[in-house]
Amino acid sequence: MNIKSTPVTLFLFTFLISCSQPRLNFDRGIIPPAPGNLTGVNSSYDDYNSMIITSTAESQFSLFFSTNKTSYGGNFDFVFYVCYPSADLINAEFSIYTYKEENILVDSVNSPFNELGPYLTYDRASWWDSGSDESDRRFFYTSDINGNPDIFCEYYTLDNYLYTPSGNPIYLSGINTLSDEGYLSIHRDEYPDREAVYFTSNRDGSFDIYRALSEENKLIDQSADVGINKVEQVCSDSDDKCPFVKDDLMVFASNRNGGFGGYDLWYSTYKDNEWSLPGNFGQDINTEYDEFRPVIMVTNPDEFLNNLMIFSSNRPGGSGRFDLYYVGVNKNLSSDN
Amino acid sequence: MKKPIILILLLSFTITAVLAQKVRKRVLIINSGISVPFSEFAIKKMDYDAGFAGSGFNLGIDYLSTKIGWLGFTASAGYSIMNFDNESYRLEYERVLNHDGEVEVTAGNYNIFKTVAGLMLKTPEFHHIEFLVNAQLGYSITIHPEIKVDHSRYGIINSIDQVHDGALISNLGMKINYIISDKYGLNLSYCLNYLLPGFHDDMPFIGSFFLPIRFQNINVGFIFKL
Repeated sequence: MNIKSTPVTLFLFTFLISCSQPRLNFDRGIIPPAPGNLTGVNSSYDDYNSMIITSTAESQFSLFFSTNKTSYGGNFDFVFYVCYPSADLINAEFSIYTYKEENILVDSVNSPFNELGPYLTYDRASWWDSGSDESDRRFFYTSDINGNPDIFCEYYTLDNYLYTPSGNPIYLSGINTLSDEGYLSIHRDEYPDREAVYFTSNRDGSFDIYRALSEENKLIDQSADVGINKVEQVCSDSDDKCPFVKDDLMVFASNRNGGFGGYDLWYSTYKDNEWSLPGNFGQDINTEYDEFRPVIMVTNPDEFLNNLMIFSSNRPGGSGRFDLYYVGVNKNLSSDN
Repeated sequence: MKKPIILILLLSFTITAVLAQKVRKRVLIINSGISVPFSEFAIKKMDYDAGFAGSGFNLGIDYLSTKIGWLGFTASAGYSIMNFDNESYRLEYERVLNHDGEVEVTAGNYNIFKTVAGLMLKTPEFHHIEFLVNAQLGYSITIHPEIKVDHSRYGIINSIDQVHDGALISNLGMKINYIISDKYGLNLSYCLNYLLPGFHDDMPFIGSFFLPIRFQNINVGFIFKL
């Protein structure tokens, strides 16, 4: 169906008419493959350890992260932002508009100690999506409130955009030890009747990535008897931290050999019931400085050609110390290994 | 700047019409030449409304009928083809994507058919030469080229099928006729064309778009007196 020019258009002045819809040079948006600073949220202090989750609409997402800006360089607390990514389909410019929102959930778990590694199982319900599982609302996080980093779980409800915590954070006794544990992430559907989660721990000396399996037909936070094993395929002799699993892709930080210096970002894919050998994200993303805590958001394939990854880095050129950065990564990253 | 020129032209036509000694009734001109895009249509950067059009070729036929010495009726039909500048488009993709990956562009040409009619003002023949200016309105059919942009990392990042649309067209032109004999002559013409077709794009979130098309025709032709 063609769009006909309206007859009331004055013939001689057709060239003066400006149109609202020009020809676009991109079918879908592209998130730049070179990292961009998430300037709207960064400060001169450390801003890192984020969690992003699709929110009320595909065109926005929620961002939780840890920062010590509120304590002026002291302990780390969570803050919450709502982000709007937008891509210009004429010139490929990409931007993320952010604004800070009060959030009772993060306020309830913030303490005079350090809160890190946020992970939410579910975010705000989409207004058009009434079929989603809204019952699974858990907020996992890491806190050293007991002296060393441990993983906790806080249930919450969400009503009219208001996060309401249960007020009784659960200490994951099946996972936590006297060593450091943190950065829990769930790998959905790995087992039909158990919940598989991944986290980092230095219980064997250096930091490695472990998998924990819940009891049958129980969630991980309801399980006392948790099966734990080191994920040998992705671990190294160096420190491997911050696993984040999205679908069958795991991204994590490691200072192993083969990187570009400091902590680098790596990825592994889950296929045939095992994780692949890790691949480095390359020097477009990694630097000689530290890259840390990567998280992935799968974008709407009708809107974007690649997925969004947010990570933190202390590379030069930021607002100071660690900053959050965004970058586009291939949607078919899993098949690249 | 334009107003004084128009006034001078009108004045000169009026004066020369009084002095006109000979009136030609009907003339047919068959012409051919180049089509040159201008304004947004010629822009080869990824700006709003950029057309990435390059020069091309055109064929035309004009009918001129003089009712009184200096005023006449004119009707024209023409076909123009202008290429889509693949290489400039590819370089722009490389630029806006910061040279990330390889880009391959395949695209066809713009094709424009037009039929227009309007009025002309004409000077009397002087040393076998006469000058004409004309303004015409009409209808055009534009075929937008198929465009496909393939990226080594992302696959197809832009695709537009070959689509067409009918749209109003307006043009302004001038001609110089050199009269060889009572039957024949030579013609040199210049014409500015303006149209604004709308096209459908299958991709989601896009739907349709308008493309301002502005191009010039510079033609030479043969005059046949009817």
